[in-house]
Amino acid sequence: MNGTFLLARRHLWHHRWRSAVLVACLTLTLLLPIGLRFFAAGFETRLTARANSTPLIVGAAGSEFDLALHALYFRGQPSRETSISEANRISDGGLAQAIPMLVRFKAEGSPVVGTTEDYLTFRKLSVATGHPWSRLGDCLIGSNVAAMLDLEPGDGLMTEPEDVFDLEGSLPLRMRVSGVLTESSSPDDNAVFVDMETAWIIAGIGHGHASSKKQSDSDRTPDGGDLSEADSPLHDSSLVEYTEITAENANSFHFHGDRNSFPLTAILAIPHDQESETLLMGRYLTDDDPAQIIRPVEIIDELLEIVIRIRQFFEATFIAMTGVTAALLGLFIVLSVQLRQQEFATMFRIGCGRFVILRLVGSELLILFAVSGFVTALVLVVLAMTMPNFSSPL
Amino acid sequence: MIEIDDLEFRYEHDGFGLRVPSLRIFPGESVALVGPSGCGKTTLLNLLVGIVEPNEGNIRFEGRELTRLSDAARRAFRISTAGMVFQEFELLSYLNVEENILLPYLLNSSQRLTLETRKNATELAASLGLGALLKRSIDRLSHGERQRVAIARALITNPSLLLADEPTGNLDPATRDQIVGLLFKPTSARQSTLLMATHDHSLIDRFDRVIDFSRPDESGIELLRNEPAHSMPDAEPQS
Repeated sequence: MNGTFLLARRHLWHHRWRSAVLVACLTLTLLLPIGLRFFAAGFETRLTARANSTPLIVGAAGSEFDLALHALYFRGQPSRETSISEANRISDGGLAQAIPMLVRFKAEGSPVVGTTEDYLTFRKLSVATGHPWSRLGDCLIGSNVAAMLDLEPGDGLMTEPEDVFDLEGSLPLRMRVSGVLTESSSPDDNAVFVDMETAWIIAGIGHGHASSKKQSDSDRTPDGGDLSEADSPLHDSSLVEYTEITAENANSFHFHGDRNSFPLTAILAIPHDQESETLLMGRYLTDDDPAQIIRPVEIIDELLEIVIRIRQFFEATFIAMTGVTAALLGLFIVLSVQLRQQEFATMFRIGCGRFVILRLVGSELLILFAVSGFVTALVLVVLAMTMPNFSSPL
Repeated sequence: MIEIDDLEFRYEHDGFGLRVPSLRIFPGESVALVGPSGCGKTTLLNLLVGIVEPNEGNIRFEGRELTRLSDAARRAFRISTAGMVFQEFELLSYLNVEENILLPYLLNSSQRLTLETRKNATELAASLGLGALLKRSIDRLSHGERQRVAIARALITNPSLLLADEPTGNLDPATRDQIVGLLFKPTSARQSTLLMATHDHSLIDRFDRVIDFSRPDESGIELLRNEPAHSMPDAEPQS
């Protein structure tokens, strides 16, 4: 080993606490900007990839950001909801496939996404273990949900009430896990998927109950199965509402009101071609339309511009911080050399040149930077491994 | 052989200096430099190994004109030909005993640190009673042990000139005798020349020659001062 390198190593180790503080300062100076850039790049890639893969989103008129974040990442709620009739209008128009979404509830902290099997096909989600929905109350869970809650097909999963203080709200529903989805490294891994009818039951629009009053044909509306609010068995004090759908009680579940008005929070619209996309967007151009259509990639680009501006601000701060650290390091070197005058004088008297002393100080700095670089890389790898969602959007 | 002719040196900051018209020191000779503090003993040792340069005159070592050597050549001369032992040991606290002994090799890229060098260091340490302490930290050594490490560091390059600047100043009498014995070993074994600055008159009988700086008539070494009325300073101007 090179003599000056050995001396540098020994000196740093002898003053190991001081060296550790220096390494910590340098590591932070390196870690913050590199980490920010690294994770921001991952964030941007994932954010953009999800938006790029989703051509159009339809929802109630309101904030475009809210709608995009809600439909893509199941985050937040649009201020208003749309209805299934809007999805039917898109499908019936023949310009695009409409995939309905109702994301209003959570189960054990994970968003419950009411949708159709078309969503799973569109997002290329397949069932890794178990089977798709086979009856009301079945749910498919993302891979992270299965791992986090230690769930497997056949287990139960309870929805959370919309508002614990809303005594008149819907009751929590115990769902049956029918399958676990393959990992997709997307927000789908953290979601619970149910079919639309189950989602509406969770929303309290449909329910099942045991009642002393036998339901007769006269209780039904002409289109079959739907009762008016006044005639609802809910008004019968003897009924017991089910909180779990089983083979025995499944037939007792029914819906109230006009099906066309059943709520959706978003609709993914998959146009058949470019022309269809343009025509479909044209249909939502009127200002008084209660619905809006957005190209998520445009919304996310706007969002990224904000993120990039924030990142630039942080980078400017980090450059200033690097300057301060460099100045402090320079001061440290000057003071250290002054404190080591006696040591360097001894070396000189033994026969060592000034160049060797410069090489010694340089070796110490090199080791400090190398260790800091290694620690920085290690921290980044550990963060990336232990927190895979660290750079995932939202 | 060391040959000094018409040497004159003055420190720029206070004008203190030395004039040595002629001095010859022979190979294998042991010379004690005695005299009160500040009389120029350390200055002469520094001049002999090129740490300071004379204003006038010549110093030759084994025929080489030291005063005409470049800085780099003087450093090479110091590290390869001369060994120095200091009063305050001047060991590096962050190195262990073995690494301190090998310091001249660690500082000199032209001298490779080989297995043989390490073996020599081990043998030298054993001969100085440091065999069991090679990996020990300097902080955990006694004064006597530290001075033995300093002597081992001075001897590791097999120098033909060994300079010691009051090496026994901080030692008890028993350790002092032991250390002086160790310093004399290479003069008898390898015909090295030993020059030792000391205040301790009890040691001077062991030397072949004594140069007393307080007796210019006998030593031929004249002190130079700007203000002759001044008394002798307490401390040496260069130590």
